[in-house]
Amino acid sequence: MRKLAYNIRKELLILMRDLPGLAILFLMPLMLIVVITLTQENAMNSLNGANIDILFVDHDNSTIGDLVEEGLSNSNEINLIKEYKNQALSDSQIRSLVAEGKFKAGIIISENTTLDAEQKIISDLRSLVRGNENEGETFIVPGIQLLFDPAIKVVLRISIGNAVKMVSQGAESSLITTVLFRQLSDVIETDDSATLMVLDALQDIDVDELPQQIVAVDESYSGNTSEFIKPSITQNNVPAFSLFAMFFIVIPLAGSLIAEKNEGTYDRIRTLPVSYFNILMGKTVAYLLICFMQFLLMAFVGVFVFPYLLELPALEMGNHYFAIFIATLASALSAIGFGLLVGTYSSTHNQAAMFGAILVVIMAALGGIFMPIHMMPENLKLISNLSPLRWGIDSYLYIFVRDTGLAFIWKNLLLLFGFFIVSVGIAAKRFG
Amino acid sequence: MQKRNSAISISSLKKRYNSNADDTLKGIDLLINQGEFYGILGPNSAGKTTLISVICGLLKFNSGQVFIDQQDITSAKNNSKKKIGLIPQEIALYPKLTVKENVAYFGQMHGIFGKELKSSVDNLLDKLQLNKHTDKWISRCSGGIKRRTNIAAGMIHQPKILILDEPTVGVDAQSRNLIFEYLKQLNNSGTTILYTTHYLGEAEELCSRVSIIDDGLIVESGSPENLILEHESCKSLGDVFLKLTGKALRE
Repeated sequence: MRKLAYNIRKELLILMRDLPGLAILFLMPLMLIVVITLTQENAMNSLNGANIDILFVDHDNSTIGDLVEEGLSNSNEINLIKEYKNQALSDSQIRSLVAEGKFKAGIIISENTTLDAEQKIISDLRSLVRGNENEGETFIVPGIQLLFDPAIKVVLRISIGNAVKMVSQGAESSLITTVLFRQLSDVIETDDSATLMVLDALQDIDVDELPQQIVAVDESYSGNTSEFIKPSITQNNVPAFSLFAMFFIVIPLAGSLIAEKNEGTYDRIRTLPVSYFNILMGKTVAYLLICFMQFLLMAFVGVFVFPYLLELPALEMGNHYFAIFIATLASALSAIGFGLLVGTYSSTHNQAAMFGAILVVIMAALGGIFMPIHMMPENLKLISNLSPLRWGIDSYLYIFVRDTGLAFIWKNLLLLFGFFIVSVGIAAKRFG
Repeated sequence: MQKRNSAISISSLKKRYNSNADDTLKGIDLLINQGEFYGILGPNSAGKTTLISVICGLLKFNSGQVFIDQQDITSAKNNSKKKIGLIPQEIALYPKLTVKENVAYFGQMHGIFGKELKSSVDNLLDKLQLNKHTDKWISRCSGGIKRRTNIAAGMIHQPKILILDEPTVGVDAQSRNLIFEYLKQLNNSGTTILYTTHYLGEAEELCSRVSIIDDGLIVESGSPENLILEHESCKSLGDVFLKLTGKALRE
């Protein structure tokens, strides 16, 4: 164990004295995460002020449909499109146009939405008056479908969703008032004693018990995308660039292996009464510390620098800190394994640096670091499953966005740990 | 073949690399007694480095036997490693560690720690006149300091057998002289030294016995004086060497 401790110390000393190497490991991802996140955020913000064309079909042709249309038409940011190539839009046309990315979003208001909503309101009112609380809570009218281009920017999707929900709630309120007065006037016109009973009953109604939502706004990605992960830019970019940085340890790590081979220290080490596995573990632990520091730095930027200095969304990491630790451990070990593999099969430092850096960029692109997985063609999506960066980023996104723990990411973790074990095995066999 | 006081004993040693059609070592027999200063001489590609690599446990061999301090290296590999100190031709040090850190690291890998390590490092750096340069990174040291540190790193565990592969390549006369003086002292104190060099004058000055190896075989062994006497018309070990190995250029 003492030999391992001194191996770790030696590796850390060498790393700390390699300023260009440290710049690659810390400054490069730091600059990338800030510049790319700011650029992405600016791109999203610039869309907010623009007129966004949204496809619109109203099968309801009644109060809710009219009010939603009127409300959205009055918005400065949304331009409702009801015809395409001079023909009225159909539901299937909206789905395909949005799925193809020709329009960012589409709204379909179902037939009889107003009628169903009125019945729902009447049912809720009756149950409230009769004191039967359960009757009205069982369903929400499935009235408005809001379809999104799978490649839509998160911020834009949230903005459109909120706008539609706001307009929809306004239409609901208006409908509730209309139905309430219609019901009351029906009763009052026919029976005075009933009027008094209704008024008494109304006094007993708790406003908070009135239905909160009558017409559902069903948001989904159009097309075949089953995943519905909604990461913020920060939630996506912090783990993405942490992983990118971790895998860039390939340059110093593979470089140290090659230097040992070429400069004779490897042969000298083999004459020492210490196993090469011990030497590899020394490197592993030292680089593991570096990887954790990289992740902590990125997380610090996400939690503090982004919101307070750059007005970017803060990093929300969920509550599963142990899962984050294990995901970081697995990702870091996988990155170290990759560095050992490249160092094992490269014969010069330049070869390892070029080969390693290019491979990292390819694996990062495949792993969804620069482009979301759902935007990739099907074949590429399949290939992306081979990228350790994909296993890593999927694990983080599950934890950050879905707020889930190890139970949901164990398969990815097994892949990451497995990759490390195989890599160390190959390196130890080759060198040992 | 092995004798009670042998430091290195080798019999019928053969080694063939996978990529080669012929054996690189074609049946080496060698006996080096404890306390000897022994030279292995040979032209390029004669098999010197292969022989040293086998003795140090860096290469597996195809047939034959190798004993280090009367122990078979195939069955007592780790034990042999503790007894041997290798000083390779290359500067096998970490460029971004200091002189002291490098020497200490190799001591730690030999299982020397704490006060014992500090005292060994200080003593060695003092003897090799490196104490003014202890905190310099190796990458910033001169060739002579690097060479001397390279020697210190191979000696930190006070091995019974010291193997030096061309230790004076690229050093100035002063450093070479210091290295020679130190090696003589070490040998006088009982350390067995196996020395390979292309500088035949060095071998003549330092070694009590030498073996000349060519094409994977030992072609002659003996003390430098005897070899010169045995070969008429030869006035130096260099003459003997050229007579035995020829004047044709090697790879």
